[in-house]
Amino acid sequence: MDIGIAGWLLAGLMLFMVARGIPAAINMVKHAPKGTLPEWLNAALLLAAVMAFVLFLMSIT
Amino acid sequence: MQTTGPIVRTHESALATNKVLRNTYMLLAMTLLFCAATAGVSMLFDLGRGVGTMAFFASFAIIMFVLPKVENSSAGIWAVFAFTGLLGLAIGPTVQHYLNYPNGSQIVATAMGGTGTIFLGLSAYVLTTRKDFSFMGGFLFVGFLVAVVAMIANIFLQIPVLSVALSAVIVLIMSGFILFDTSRIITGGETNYVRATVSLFLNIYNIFQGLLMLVGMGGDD
Repeated sequence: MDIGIAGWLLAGLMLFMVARGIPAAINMVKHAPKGTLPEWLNAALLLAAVMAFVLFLMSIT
Repeated sequence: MQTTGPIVRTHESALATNKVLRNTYMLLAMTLLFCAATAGVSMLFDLGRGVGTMAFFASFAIIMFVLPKVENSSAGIWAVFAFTGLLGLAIGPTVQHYLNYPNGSQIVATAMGGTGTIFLGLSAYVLTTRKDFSFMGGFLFVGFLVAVVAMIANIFLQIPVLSVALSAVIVLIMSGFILFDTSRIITGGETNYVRATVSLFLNIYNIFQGLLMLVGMGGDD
């Protein structure tokens, strides 16, 4: 199997994840009581985005 | 007279839902055509993987930074067109890859036909039955994450049978998301047609890629 093609399928899935994750995160932030949004959530979202990006780069190269 | 208020509100709510649905399908149809056109341009001018990758990153940037800011304004429509057009450029080389197979046109046509049938069939099912598929959300997202992790693992493991299975799983999960998203629009859970269009577009895009991979593996001599 061509690894590039699998990489592109994975890329589409990453895009899907980001498209769903961002509105969900915004919604979570909007509906959270003031001052209760944990710092770890921001860090986890940032880490997840960076990891997804690195894995995508690994998959297409 | 006391029941007039709720009845009017329900009627207004049904009208608003129908409006969102109509706008979503109209925008979806136009963006799918635009995506097909840009994919055609990509193949016609033989734009390689480099352009495709850049277009993909640009679409990634639009969905991360631009769309959340403009989704409630008319600029959101242009952002969706830009996003889908760039994805068309990105998928062009992949479609060209399959068209280079001996039975390439048949593979691509089968994947396109399959995608259309799945989308129309599932949408018709939800619109006819008006069932609420919101209960599927958690299950679908967990299934999706497991499939993504397995796909990443398979990049290193290189098991052909697993990639066939995963393509089928992705098609299945994205089909579930079509049910979920359409049901959300009907039940009033999604009121923004720009966001609804992007969700449905990405479902269709991933179903097409999954089917292309599935049919392509069967047709690769």
